[in-house]
Amino acid sequence: MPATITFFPVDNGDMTLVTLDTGRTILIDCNIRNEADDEDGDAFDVAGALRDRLPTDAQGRRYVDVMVLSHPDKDHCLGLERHFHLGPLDKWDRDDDKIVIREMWSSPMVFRRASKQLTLVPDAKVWNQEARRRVGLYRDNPYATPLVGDRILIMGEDENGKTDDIPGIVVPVDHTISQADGQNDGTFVAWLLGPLPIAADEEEDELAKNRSSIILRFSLTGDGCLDAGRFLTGGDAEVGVWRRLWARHGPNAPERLEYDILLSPHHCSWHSLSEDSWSDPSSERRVDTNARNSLSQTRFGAVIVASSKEILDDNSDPPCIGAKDEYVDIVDGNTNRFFCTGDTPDDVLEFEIGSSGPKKKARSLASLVSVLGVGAAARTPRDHGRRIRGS
Amino acid sequence: MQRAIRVFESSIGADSVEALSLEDDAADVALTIEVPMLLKWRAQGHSDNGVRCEEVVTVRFFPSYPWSAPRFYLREDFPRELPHIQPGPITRPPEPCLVDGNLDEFFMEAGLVGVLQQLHQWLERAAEGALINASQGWEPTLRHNLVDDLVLDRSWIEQVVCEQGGSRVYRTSFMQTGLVEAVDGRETMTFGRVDAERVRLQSPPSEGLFQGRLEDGKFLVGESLTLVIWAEPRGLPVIADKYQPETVYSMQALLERAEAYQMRVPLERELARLSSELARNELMTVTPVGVVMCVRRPYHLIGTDSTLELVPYYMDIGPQHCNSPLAEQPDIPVVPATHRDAVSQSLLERASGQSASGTFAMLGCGSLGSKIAMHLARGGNSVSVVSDYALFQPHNLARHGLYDGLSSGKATALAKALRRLGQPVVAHEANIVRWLGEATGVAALVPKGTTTVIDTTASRRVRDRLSSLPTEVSARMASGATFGNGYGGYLLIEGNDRSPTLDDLSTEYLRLGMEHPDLGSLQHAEDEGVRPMEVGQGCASMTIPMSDSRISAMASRLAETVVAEESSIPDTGRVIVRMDDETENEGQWIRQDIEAPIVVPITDGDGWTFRIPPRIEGAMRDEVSRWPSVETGGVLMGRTNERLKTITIVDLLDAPPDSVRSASGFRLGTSDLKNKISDYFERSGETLFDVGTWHSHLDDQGPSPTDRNTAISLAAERPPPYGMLIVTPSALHAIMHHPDLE
Repeated sequence: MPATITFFPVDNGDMTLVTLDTGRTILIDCNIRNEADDEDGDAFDVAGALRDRLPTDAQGRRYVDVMVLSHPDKDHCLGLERHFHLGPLDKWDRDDDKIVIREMWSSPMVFRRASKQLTLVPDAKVWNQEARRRVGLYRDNPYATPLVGDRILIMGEDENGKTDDIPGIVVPVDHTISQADGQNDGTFVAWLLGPLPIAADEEEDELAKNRSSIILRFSLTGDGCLDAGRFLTGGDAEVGVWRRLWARHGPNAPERLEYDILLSPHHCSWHSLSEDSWSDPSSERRVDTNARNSLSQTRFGAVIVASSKEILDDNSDPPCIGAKDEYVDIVDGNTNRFFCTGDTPDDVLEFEIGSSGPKKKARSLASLVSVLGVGAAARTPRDHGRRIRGS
Repeated sequence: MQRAIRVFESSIGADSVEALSLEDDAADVALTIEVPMLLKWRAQGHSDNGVRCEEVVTVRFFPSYPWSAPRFYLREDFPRELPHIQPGPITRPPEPCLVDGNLDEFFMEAGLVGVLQQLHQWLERAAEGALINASQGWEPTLRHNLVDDLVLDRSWIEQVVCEQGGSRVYRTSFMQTGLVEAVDGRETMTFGRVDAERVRLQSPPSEGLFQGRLEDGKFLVGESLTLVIWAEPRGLPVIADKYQPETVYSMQALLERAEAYQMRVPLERELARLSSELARNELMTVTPVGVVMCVRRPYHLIGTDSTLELVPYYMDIGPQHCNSPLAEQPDIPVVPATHRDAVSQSLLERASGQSASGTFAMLGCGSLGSKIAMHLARGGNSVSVVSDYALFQPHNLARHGLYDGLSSGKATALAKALRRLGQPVVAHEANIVRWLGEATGVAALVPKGTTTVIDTTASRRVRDRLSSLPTEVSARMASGATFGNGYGGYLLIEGNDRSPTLDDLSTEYLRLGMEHPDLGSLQHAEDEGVRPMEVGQGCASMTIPMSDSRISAMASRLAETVVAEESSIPDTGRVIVRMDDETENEGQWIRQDIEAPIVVPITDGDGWTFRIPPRIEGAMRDEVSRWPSVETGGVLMGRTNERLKTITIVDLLDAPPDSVRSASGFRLGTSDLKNKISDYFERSGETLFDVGTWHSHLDDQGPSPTDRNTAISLAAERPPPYGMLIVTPSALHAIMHHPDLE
C-alpha cells in the first residue's frame, strides 16, 4: 500500500502523521486544542481524524508505533495528556480509551531541569516524566526486551553527558533510523539531522527549545518502491540551525536535505530564514543564503507545507508572508506547490506516496452532513417565541 | 437548479463553481476540479497523458432534472484516447463514463455529491492512466448508452478471423423501429442478427436482400448484410494496442478507423462489391448494413479469454447512396452499435455463473421434467433428447410452464423452448417403456454422447427398464421425483456399470425412510401418492395435486443437484433426498452413497438373483464371527422385482431367541419373529418385507440336502420369490425352490 503523510489543521502548531508502506505509524508532535475537542463546536475534530487513521491492537487499544516530540513547546504537545496514554500499559483504561505510544522519540531536552530559561507547559512535563520512566526501565535492565509501550529512543546525545550511560537507546546526530517500535521496518530511513549541539557562540536561552528541535529527513517506500518520497521536518528550528546544517552537509552531501515535501519550520516563520525581524518594518529583512540553501534542496515537483493559521499579507510572524514568498520562490514560483493547513481548516492535508512518487490526495468532498446542513441550526443559540423587552 | 449549485459550492468551494447559462431547456454550470496527481505532474501543470491539474468540467442540467442525472462534459481538447469516454462524435465535447451502469440510477441513489465524487475519482484515474486495469483485461471500446444492437455469435467469428482474406459477408436479419424519445439525435434503433449464412457478393443476385417491409405499422423488418472485416496477418498477427474511444459517425470516420486498425483494404474491397450489389438492387428506404471490425488486442478482454474485440457499426444506406461507390461518399451516416452475443451455451453459462459439462437426455417432459430441463439448458448444459408421449391437457396448465396449445405433445413443446436457447434438441413423442425395451429405441432415447439420463416419469416400469439396460449404454441413469405433496424430492444416481441400479437405489431410498423418521413420515404421508383427480366428466387423471410454486421449488433444487453431481460423478450410486419444511421454509438434505451390490445368482431360481450390499454381507460375517463353531443366521429384509427378477436386500433381522445353533445346522426360531417382520413392513410404508433367510456354513460348501428340503417347505408356505442365502467362509450361495419348475 502507499505511504501517506497527513498534516492536521492545528492552527499555529504542528501535528503530522506518517503512515509507512507497512501500515506502521509515526506521529510527529500534536496540538489538539480545547476547541477541537468540543463536540458541539464547529472546529475540526483533530483527535477524531487522527484516531480514524490509527490501528488498534488485539485488545482494542488504539496506538501509534512511534511518537516524536520535536521539542517541548506547547504548540507541539498540546493535548498529549488528554489523548495519549502515559505510563505502563497495564494502567491503560478502556473507558478513557487513550492512544498508546509504543515508542517515544524524544530530544535529550528531557534531561534538563526546568529553569528560568526553560519553562514547560503541563503536557511537556508529562512527556518528560514518561520519557524518564522509559529511560529508567532501560537503565535498570539494558538487555531486557522492553514491553509494549515502554520503548524510547533519544534523538541526539545530551551535551551534559546525561546520555552517556544509555548508548543503546540514543541515536547520534547524522545517524539513520530504520526501525519503528524496535521492528526493522524496511520501508523508511530517517536521517537524524538535528538537534545540533550548542555552538560556541550560542547562549542557553529561551530559544534553546527551538534550537533543540529534532530534525528528520525521511526517505519513504511507496507501494514497495524504495525512496519514492522524501519528507523533511524540523520542528521550530531557527535560521542558525539551518545555516549550520548547510555548512555541515551542503558542500559534500546536500542530498541529505533533499525533499519532495517540506514542513516549513516554525509554522512558516521568518526566523527560520533570516536573522532580521519581520514584525519590525524598519528591519532589513535579509534572507540568510545558507539557511535558505538548507531548505531548498527540492526534488522535481517538490511542495512546501506551512502548518499554521492562514497566511495574511501583514507584519505578523509566524506565519509570515515573507517566508511564504521565499518558499514559493523555492518551488519555482508556483503557488500551487505551496500549501497552508490554515487554508482548509476543516480538513486534513494529505499526501500519498505510491510507487511513482508522491501525490496530493483529493480533499475529501464536503460530507453530506455539511451539504445538507445537518446540525446547522444547533450551531448558534436561536431565540424562539416572543421575547418581552425589559421584563 | 439553485439547490444543485449550492451543493456544488459547499462540496468544492464557491470559487470553483460558475453558472454559465440558465436556459429553460438546459442549464450549464462550469466546475473547476482540482485533480489529485503526482507532485511532479502538478509541477508541470498536467499529467504525462495530458490531464490538467485543474480541469474545467461543464455540467449540463436538462429539464428532466432531478428525475435524471446531469451530464458532464470535459473540455474539447481533453485527451480522447483515454478509455471510459462515452461514445460520441468528435464534434461533441468528450463525456466521461462515470459509473459502471446507469448514471441516472446511480444519481437517484447517491445524489449529486455521489456523482461528483465519481467525477473526481474518474479524473484522478484518468491522470494516472489507471482507467484501464491491465490485470483485469483489455477494456472493450466503451459502448454504453448506444441504442443499436447487433447480435453475432462470437465463437464462430473467432474461427473465421483466423482465415486469410480479411473479410466475409453474412446475411443479417434486421428490425428497425422508432424510439419513443430520441437518444443523441437518433430517432430509430436497429436490431440486427448476423446469420451464419455467408453471402458472396457479385455472384448471382442474392434473393430478398434489402427489401424491408413494415410490420404492425411500426417495425421495419428485412434482410440485409453485415461486412465482417479483420486485419490480415502479415506473418505475425496485427495487434491494435491503442485504446480509441468511439467517435465514428460517418463513412469517412469509419474508413479512418479501419485504417487505424489496419483493415482499410478489406473494408474498401467489400464496400466496392456492396456498391455494385446495391446498384443492381433498388433500395426503397434507408437500410442498415452492418460492419464488424474484428480487432486483435494485446491481451484478453475483460471477463473473457479472447483477445478479439468485435467493434460493430451500422451504415444507414439510403436510395441516394446507391449511384456511386460507397467509399467515396464520406457523409454516409454510420452509427456505432453494441455487440450482443448470440444465444449460445457459453453465453448462458456465463450469464448463469456456472460451468456446464453435461449432456442430458430427458425421459418425461411433465411439469417436473420440463422445469429441470429448462434449468439445465439455461445454465448452458446440453439437453440432446427429450421424450414423452403425453399430450397437453387443460389441467396440465396448473403446473406446466411450456404450454403450446392443446393436443400438442409435451416433448415437442419442451424441445421448442429448448431450441430457443440454442439447443439442437430432438423430441420423441414415444412410449418410453416400449422404446427402452428395444435396441433402436434405446439408441434414440439415449443417443451416444449422453452423459446422464434423467428420468422424471415417476414410472416404476421406466425405472426397471433403465435398471436393466446393458452396460454398453454408457450414460449414467438418474431418476428424480417429488413426494410428500412436493415437500420432498429425491434424485437417484446409479453407480458405475449400472451397479447399483436405479431399482436397488429405490429400495435403499425406502430403507433411508426408516433411518430418518422425518423422511419416513413424508414418504408415507397419508395423502401422498398418485390418485385419480377429476379432470372432466367421467374422466380422471392419475396425478398428485400440488401447486406450481411447490413443484418449481423442488425442480430447481433437483436441477441444482443434477448440475453439482455432474461435475463429480462417483463410482458408487447415490441417493439424494431433499425435504422442505412445510411451515418454516427450512429444509434438509440427506445424501447417501450406495456401493455396488454383490450379485448372487440363485440356484434353481429361474434367473432370480440376490443383490446384497457390501454392508449387509459385512453384517452377516460379523454375526458369523460371533458364532465361530456353530452355524448361525437370520432374516433378509428388502424388496423383490418381478421384472428384473431381483431380490434386493437392504437390511437384516436377527435370529429370534429360540433359534438353535449347532455345528451341523441352524434352526431359525419363530419367537416374536412374525411381529417384528410385520412391524418392519408397516414402518417402511408397506414397502420392505422379508425376502428370504440366511445362515452360515462352517466350511465352503453350498446348499446341503437339508437346505433344499427347507427351500421346498418354504416355497410351499410362501409364494416365491423367497430365497435362502448361505454364507460360507469364502463365498455366498443362494437357493430357492420354484414349485412351477418342478
